[in-house]
Order: sequence, then C-alpha cells, then structure tokens
Amino acid sequence: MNDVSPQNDEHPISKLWRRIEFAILHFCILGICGVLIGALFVQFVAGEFPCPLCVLQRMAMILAAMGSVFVITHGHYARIQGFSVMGLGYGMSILAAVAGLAIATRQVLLHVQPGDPGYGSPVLGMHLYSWSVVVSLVVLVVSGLMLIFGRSPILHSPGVEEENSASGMKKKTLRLEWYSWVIFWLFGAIILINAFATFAESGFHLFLPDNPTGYRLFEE
Amino acid sequence: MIASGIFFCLFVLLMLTLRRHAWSTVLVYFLSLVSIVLLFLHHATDQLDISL
Repeated sequence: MNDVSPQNDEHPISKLWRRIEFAILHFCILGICGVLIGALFVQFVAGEFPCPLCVLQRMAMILAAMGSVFVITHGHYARIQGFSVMGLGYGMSILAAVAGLAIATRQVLLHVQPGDPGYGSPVLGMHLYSWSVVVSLVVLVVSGLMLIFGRSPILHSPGVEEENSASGMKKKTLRLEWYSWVIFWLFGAIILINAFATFAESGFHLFLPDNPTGYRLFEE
Repeated sequence: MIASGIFFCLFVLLMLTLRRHAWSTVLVYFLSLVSIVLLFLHHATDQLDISL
C-alpha cells in the first residue's frame, strides 16, 4: 500500500476542502444511521413489523454507508495495490445504492396503484420505502460528486503515526479522531440491533414472512 | 435466519474495515451484496411461481 503524507505547503482552500470532504463522509454515515434509527423507532415504538423488502433496504443502506467507512479508515493510503481508495470506497457505495434502489422501487411499484393504502404508516408524508428511494438516489448523487470533485484520499486531520515495531521497523498506523469512533460504534450498534430484531421476527425459519404480524421467536 | 445472518455478515464487514484489512473488506462486501441480491430475487419471485 502506498502511504502519502499531506503536503505542508498546501493551499488553504485545498486544506479546507479536505476537511469538508472528511465532514461529508461522516455525515453520510450519520445520515444513514438517522434513517435506520427512524426505521427502528417505527418498528419498536409504533409497533409496525418490517416486511422482507424493508429489511433488505436496511441492509443495502448499511452496505452503502460502508463505502464511507472504508474511505475514512483507508484514506491515508493513496492507492492499495494500484487501486484507488476513493474508487473502491465510493464504488462500494454506488453498487449498494443501486441494489437498494432496485429493492425500494420494487416495493413502491407493489403499492403504486391508486387506492392502495401502502405498507405501514407514512412518515413525514411518505412511506418508508419511498424514503428509501430518496436515500438511495442521494447516495448515488453524493458518491458521483465526490468521485468528480474529491481531490485527495488523504482526508484525515489526525494523520499518520509512526510506531516502532518489535523488528525495529517503523510501522505507520492511522489515528482516527474520537468522533469517528463514536460514529463507527453507533453504526455497529445499529447493525447488531437490526440483526437481533430480524432474528426475533423470523425465529428459527430460513425466511421472513411476507406479512409479519409478530415476533415468531417468542410466539412459537 | 438468513436475513439476520446477513446483518451479522455486515457487522463483520464493519470490523474488517475498521481493522483496515482492505481486500478482506472487499471480499466480504461482495459476499454481502450478492447475498442481498439473491435474497431479494427470492422474495421478488417466490409468489409468482415462475421458472427462471
């Protein structure tokens, strides 16, 4: 992997843009965390059970946010064995967003007929699967813009630290800021909550029911 | 169970990304993506009773 250190003589506007890129990456993860927390709120507080397509859309959103996590954690490498870090990270987000868009569009089309009440109750005027279409489109647009206007993979204000390993070789490690860790662990907690909630809903069956009415793990 | 398995796979993916195992991350990413797409195809075609 090729390590690249930030240049000290960099123009102030370039430095500012790197910080903005760094902030955008964090806001991408936070935005998706917010949407997933909203979905969990509807599930546990409003008492609505997510259908299989809703669960698949959550997975696609998590996978889309993983691209931003990848760019943040690998941003101190310019390239990994010839592959651009930004290309890998945003490519991951784009592919996941396309999958999420396909799943959400399928669910919108299931309920698009006039008179169909839709699945679940609307949030801020739209059903959750319609919001999922919006989220997927936003991920696609932001990833495209970041691929065009993203200047450098060296996004991190903390920078690279050099540590002496046991063999006497200097090993470069990345030190992330505390807020990065807070966001990553919030994201991890949301994934685990979804995993356990989905297991409770499916019970010891391979697939989720098409129209869930309860938590099969506790009912059977 | 398959769906919760994919969620655990996504959690493993996050751990791999945080530990900066680049190619393991990409591998588990594609494993998760293919699993999501296959599960979607199952749910999308299950009721249609069609032979693909």
